[in-house]
Amino acid sequence: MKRFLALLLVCVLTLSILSVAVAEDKKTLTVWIPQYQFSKDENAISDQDFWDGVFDPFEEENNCEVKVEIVGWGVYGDTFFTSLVNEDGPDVVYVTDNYDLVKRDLLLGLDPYLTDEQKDNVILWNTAPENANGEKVIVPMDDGVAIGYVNKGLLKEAGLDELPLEWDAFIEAGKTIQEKTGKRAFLQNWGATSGTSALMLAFWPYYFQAGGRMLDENGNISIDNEAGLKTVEFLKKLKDEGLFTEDIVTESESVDKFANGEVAYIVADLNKGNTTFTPAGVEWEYVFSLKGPAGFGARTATDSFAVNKKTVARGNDELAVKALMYITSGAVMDEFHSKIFYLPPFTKDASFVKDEALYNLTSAHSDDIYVVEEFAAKKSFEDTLLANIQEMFQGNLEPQEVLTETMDYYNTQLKED
Amino acid sequence: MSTSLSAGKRMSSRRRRQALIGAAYILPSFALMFIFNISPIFLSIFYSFTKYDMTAAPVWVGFENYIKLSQNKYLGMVLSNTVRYVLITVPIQTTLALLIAAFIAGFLKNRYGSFLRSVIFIPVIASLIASATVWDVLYKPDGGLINQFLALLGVSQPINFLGKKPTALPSVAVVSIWKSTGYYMVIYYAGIMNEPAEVQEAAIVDGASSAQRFWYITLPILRPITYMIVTLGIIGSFQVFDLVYKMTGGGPGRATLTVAYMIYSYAFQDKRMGYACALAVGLLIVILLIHLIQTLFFKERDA
Repeated sequence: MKRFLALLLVCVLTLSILSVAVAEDKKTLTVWIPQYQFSKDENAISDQDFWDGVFDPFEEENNCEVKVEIVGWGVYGDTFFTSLVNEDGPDVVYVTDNYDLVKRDLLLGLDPYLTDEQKDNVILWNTAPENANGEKVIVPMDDGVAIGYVNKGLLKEAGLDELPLEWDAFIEAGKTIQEKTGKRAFLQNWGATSGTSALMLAFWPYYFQAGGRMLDENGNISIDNEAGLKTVEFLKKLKDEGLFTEDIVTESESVDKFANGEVAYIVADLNKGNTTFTPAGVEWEYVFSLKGPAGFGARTATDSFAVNKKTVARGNDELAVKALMYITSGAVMDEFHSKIFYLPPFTKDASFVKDEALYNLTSAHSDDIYVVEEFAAKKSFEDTLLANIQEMFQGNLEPQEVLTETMDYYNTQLKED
Repeated sequence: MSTSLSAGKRMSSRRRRQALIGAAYILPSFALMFIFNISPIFLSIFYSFTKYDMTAAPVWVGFENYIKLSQNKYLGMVLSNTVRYVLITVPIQTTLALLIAAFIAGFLKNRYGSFLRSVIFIPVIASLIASATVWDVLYKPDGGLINQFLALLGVSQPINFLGKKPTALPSVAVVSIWKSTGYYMVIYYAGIMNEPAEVQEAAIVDGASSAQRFWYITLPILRPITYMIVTLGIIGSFQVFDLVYKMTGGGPGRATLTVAYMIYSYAFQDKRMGYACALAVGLLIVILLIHLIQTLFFKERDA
């Protein structure tokens, strides 16, 4: 009996050691993704459950364990930056602001790991930033264009068949709408507390419509030009003609007021129509954008997925890139866009389209969509520009001074050599 | 003789042992203070002479950050905003705290007084960001409670408290005053309650009125507490960041941009730690200078 027990003990110990060895052989990947599930529907799947489920077949196929961490948006940028600087950062990460990460060489160059076919599959691959070796370091995704929404009911009430989109005609129509309905013609968050969030909707689209481009041929930010002046003059005219209120400090406030039928035109993200305005009973339609001196123009932002460069030292770089390409594959993203949050397809093998009308509209205007690009000290630049625009609204600066002062401050104080 | 010598030796060895035990008690908290309070000051001074982005090693650049800072066209405006904020908050919160404490100590030494003290103290324990969010809503031009109240009083046009230059900074300051007064009131209340009763009794016998007793007895006795409260108030107000960050983002324009907010932008938005540290060191010098002037003022009054 004693011999049997001893033998049993030896067997158990051996098996335990072997199982630990096997477990150690199993590679582990950490993936950071921000929260995207905002649905209040109690049957909606959570981000965590979605991604855990998505990675089950990947784990099995690659004999690995993938730990997905859902990080809140509030501090996401700072969180992933400090984590990538430190040794224990994630292997695969969803990136919002990539400039500092690229400049500090914190992201893995992807070209050596990918086939030409894989690169070609990513629609915005050519816009991805490169490291010092000329290797692309992110898989850019299209966050969706900011689109115009028109309240057709208010338009009818004002006696208008459609909203004129040329800048001057839009201002005149706006005055008519306000006179005849007593409601606001147009709302945007010019009173915002963050330059980045305000300018995304309330400056860059007009700058593009005026023919402006964010970066010059050397990759430096440039707004002190004819297009910049036309843009700021247009904003001033909106205020002078009464189509302006500084009460709005967030995008959600203008969205709420549009949903309540209090405003005729807003610009918002492309999900708002189906998720907010239709359930609120607003009779609405899309317009691509206003039309400036150079034509239509809307902005899109490109967040992205990337791999931590430290995965090379960890010995799991190949697996991390494999996970990255798995996340961004058409099949996974179609599922993500249908179950969690709708965005346009950003790879050619993705096919899920939620709103045919919107898809057709943005496809027809594909040449009028501009990416909000990254550059040094971008957030502080945008805070400075917003502050100067607000100074203009308060009567302290002229349009040209807004541009000159912003660029002067940026070049002397914000941009580091 | 030998007995007294050996007793003295025993005494001194006991004192040494006690001193060592005392030091051992202090050591953990001193170590924490050194790591989290003292060493960052010296590190900031060091980084202020470097170019440092948190990833690569800092590069020594001498006085470059300070020279650049001296050329910053908005620094004067930001300093002026900060000083105006200090000048609004510190006198009002100090005076209010003193008056409320004196009122409760003089007229409400009962359960109602305790209740009032608790009510006034509640904002102190409320989260600052939550408070800022609530005040944001109260201040709203469109349906905010304050504007609704003003409308009842006959003010026809709603006031955009946070969106207009003349009102933005005072509106943020009001939140700070609302939040801090309770804390200072409790300190004043404790000071008033410790006031020797016989001094007050003697003054009453001499025929002093309650206003005279407050002015000539209570206030001078509370001078050390006032000194501490003013010092804490000045330091706290110079560092105002969270309220501004949540309520105005420094706007409209730069009407509420403060030094601490500027430090945050340079350090964490732009990742330019060296430049931000130079500004932080500048702020430290300004606070030390003001503290020095304040100390001299109080000393002169004491003399």
